[in-house]
Amino acid sequence: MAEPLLDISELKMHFPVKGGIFLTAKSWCKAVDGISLQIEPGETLGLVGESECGKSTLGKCIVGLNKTTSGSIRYEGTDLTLLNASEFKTHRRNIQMIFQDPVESLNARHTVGEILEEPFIIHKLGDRAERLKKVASLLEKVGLHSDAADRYPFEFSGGQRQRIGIARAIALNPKLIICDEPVSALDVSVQSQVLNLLMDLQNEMNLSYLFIAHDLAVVKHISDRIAIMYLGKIVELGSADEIYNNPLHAYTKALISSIPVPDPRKKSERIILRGDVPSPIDPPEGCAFAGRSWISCTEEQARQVGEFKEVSPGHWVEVHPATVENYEDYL
Amino acid sequence: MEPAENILEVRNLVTAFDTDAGQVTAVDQVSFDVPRSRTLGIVGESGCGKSVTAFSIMRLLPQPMGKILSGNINFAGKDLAQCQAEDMRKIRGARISMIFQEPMSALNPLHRVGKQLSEIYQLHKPEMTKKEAWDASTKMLHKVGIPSPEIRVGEYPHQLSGGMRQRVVIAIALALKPQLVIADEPTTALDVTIQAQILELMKSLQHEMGMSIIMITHDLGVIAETCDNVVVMYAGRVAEVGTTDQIFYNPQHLYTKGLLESIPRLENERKSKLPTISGLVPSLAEMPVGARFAPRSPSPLAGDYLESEEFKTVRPTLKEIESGHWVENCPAVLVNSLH
Repeated sequence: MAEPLLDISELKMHFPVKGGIFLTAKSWCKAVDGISLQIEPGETLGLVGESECGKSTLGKCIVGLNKTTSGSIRYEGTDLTLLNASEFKTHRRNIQMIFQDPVESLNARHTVGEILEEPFIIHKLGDRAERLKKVASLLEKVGLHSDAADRYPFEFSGGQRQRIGIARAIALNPKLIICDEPVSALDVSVQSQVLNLLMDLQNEMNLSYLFIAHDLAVVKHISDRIAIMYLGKIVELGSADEIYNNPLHAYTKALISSIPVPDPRKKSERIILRGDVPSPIDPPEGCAFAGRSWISCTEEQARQVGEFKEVSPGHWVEVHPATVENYEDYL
Repeated sequence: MEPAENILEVRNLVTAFDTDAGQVTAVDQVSFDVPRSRTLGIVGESGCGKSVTAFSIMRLLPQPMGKILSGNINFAGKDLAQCQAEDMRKIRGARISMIFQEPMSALNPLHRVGKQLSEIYQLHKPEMTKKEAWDASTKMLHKVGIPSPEIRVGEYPHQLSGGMRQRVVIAIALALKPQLVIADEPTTALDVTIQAQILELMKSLQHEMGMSIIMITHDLGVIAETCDNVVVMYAGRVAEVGTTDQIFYNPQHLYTKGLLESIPRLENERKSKLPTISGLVPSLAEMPVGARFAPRSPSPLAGDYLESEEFKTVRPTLKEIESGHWVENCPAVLVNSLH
């Protein structure tokens, strides 16, 4: 296989939780705790998990908005974690981000034209006339009128604002876009418009996406592969169809069964998980999921860490007595 | 349906807000019934008036901008639209209560959970002592599935997780065994596995206590799982009303059909193009008189209808097409106009 576009290896991002008079680190919030993932050119990797599982932190690490603790993020062979700010800038063109809230991520005091022109100014591309032409073509690409350039973000609806966010992200012809919950703030009818736009742009520009979301149905629709994240770690990884048709991890199964199905006669057998997601500050020792799992294991076993194994080609899962049924088969 | 079977009957409710741009009608002649011990879903996109309908029933419209202009809200023989503030206070919290979307903002961060729960007992049952109210609160927390309630009752909201807080909000709403609970997006802020817990809890409590529920949500999955009847709202009006089966398997309004088709489903083919509804919801200040969905309707009749005098002057009524299934009576927005 050719070299992946992005190769994340053993990535950790631990935030200090400060306390005491001298505000020294009292404990560590292990938001991302040893993640390895690859993204191929033109591929969409879906990243699913519940709030506070560290999925957004991982996205921010990749675009350089978070400083990582250890591990590497290789983009086309270059380790981004070792670069200083100016070296990073050349790569930032290639890796862009779309945020969840299109209201907060657009500067309310700038016109849409100014917002979209800024990337070209920062990277010193073209003169004013060329830049304006680019802005007009960007607006057209994301399905907005060219007169939108003179208007302010508040004049647009949520879906249109997300289109502006997408236009900004694709301005410099990036290769990878981190989409952090790009449709979860939108109404259903608008959500499908934005998903269609993202898929069209991917075909047209051969973009790779890291698509972060909590809605498994949305992720399954748009992704080639899906990674399931729980408490800072990837617990299952595989092709989108495989994850949906043949989930192995107890958490993945519970997630799929929890989705309310828009079909009143299809009452699925629901797996209700006990309790809440434990805090990433001082997470449970050993298997993080054992305490919530519906597959029981002994206390002795729960203290041991599961092993992330490839159980069939391309399908990886955390093998542990509490996470996989008949786990002996996978050892 | 016999009138006595309904705990709530809303008839031609019109609610408007005074804004800088003049009076804006957010809810325009909305009618529906909530049968006893059943769940009615109200579904629609942001700005369709579903929350304003709920606040109208609760008489909690922002003052002085919001007011009910006309219509009736018949709750157990009383018209809430005409109710005095004093009487309304006795009903609110005790006989009709509400569960809000954001449990953190629904709870007071400065008071212990037990105090906030006790308040509802002491307000409506002044004869209860502090101790009795506190004990009743602990019992209620146990009922909504909070582990070690005798400890949790003395904690503050920030010490609880999101799912736990929503359980507290539900405990407050159900403390006095209301006949009707209005749940406004009760699980939108929660994770799916927690959402599953909360929906399960509401179902079992309804089974046990027999209250009616109005479930307001934009999530058709939640509607399908929890509701017996559904009201689909669009731009302040009712587009379609029916049983959950009628709405999901035999939608007659093109808006309902469009909504149902645009949800990504797990069994969809991956990366296939999702059907969409073109265009945007008209702004509340410039609502047409005729069928409000018509400008976005894919029907071949829509073009002529938009040009017609009828669109500018005639408000479509609802017509019953099968027992209990009502839809806006305007061919240009109906599914059967496609064939």
